[in-house]
Amino acid sequence: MKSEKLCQQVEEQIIKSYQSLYRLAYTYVRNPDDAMDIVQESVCRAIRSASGVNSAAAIGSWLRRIVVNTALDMLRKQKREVSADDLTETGQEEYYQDQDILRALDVLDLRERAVVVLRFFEDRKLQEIAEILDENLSTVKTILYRSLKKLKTEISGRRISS
Amino acid sequence: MKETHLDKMKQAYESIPIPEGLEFRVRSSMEQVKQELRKEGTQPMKSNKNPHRFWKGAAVTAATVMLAMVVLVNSSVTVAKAMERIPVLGAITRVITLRTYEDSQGNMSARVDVPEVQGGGEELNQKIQEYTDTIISQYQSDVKATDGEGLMRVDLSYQVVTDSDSLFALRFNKTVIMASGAESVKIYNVDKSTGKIITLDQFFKQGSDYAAAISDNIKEQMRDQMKQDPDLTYWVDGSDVPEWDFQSVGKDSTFYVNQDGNLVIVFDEGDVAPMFMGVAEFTIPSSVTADITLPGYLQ
Repeated sequence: MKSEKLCQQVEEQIIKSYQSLYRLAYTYVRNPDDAMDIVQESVCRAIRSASGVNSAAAIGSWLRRIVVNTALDMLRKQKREVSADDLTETGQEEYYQDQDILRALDVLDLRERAVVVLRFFEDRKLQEIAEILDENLSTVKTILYRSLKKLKTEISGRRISS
Repeated sequence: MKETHLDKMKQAYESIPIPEGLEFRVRSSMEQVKQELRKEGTQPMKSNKNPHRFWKGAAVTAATVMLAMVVLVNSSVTVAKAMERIPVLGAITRVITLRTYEDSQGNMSARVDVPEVQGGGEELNQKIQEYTDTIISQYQSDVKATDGEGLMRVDLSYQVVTDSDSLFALRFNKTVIMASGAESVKIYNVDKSTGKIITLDQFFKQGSDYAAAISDNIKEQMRDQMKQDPDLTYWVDGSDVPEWDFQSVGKDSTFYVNQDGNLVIVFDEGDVAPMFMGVAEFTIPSSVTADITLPGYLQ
């Protein structure tokens, strides 16, 4: 019953890491309701396709990959709805007061943001990040380098202006 | 970019508050998907399994008698699970779902399958009634106590885990999800020759120290598993809270006999390990039980 065991491990991993999955989702949508929806949808996807995971060791990366893809799906959907409604503002995005410093991430595009979050906040190895984002390792390295540079400019700029 | 900026950002990231209802939503959606998969007759994981296995053996005759009836030949837990409401056992016994209690209001819901074991003896069926009644009335009183405003999901399903010449065992899996979730297992083992429910001690010769033999083996397995996978935790000798450490099995321990004729001991979630480890099961090798077991039950 190797496969059943794997499914059980997927469940265990979800229970262990749902908070970190939530924060990852939050960096994409920046409001609790949407982030919760993403986590819930990701959990459903994960359980349904638990056979898609290669090995127990890969479950962590695989779950995060599902969250990233679900988040991107949601953003795409929201964008479509927003442009249809011809709104200028893109939904309600917010960081709590304490998270103000995270606004610096706004200078990054979605892919760059994910690399920074996974590398520095979630302590994922570069190889894992490559798997999560479906990029090759050298691309991830390039993105990381570029993102840090952008962040550096953003943060020093903010300090001068404030 | 100074490290401190990244550190500060990391701190900010880690203090993104986790909404209160998140764990409940995670756990209940996991449970819901698993139920859906079971209903569809697909186990979450068995995509590459050969479906013919289910139909091996005497199924042909059985299938004509009852809609979607399956004989558990050479079966396994997975197969038994997939068969949930339609298990057919040996010659004597048949399990049917007598009724299903279903209720849902707001964020509170329950689904309890109440089975009847035909030919399973009065004692067993009475116990089943009492057990399921307790779960249903507990749920109802929780709904009442919170005016239906609480967060709760109760699921009870059953499966046949043993059906050999000498033994029949019906297992109940209970999942109660509140702010967090808890899974527990109840198994009734029936001696087919007497129709009586038997407890763990009745497998063994009088005066034998079966509890120590089995407990020692379980502790050994716990240590081995933790050594092999650092992510696993069991409460065994010298954990953080010594009084939680697993001590010993006893006559009321939950158990069944698997298709290899080996004894399997089952612990509820949170019993011998942190909740995230779920329900824990240990298969006791026959070498441990061979000398002390009474004939007829174990291999």
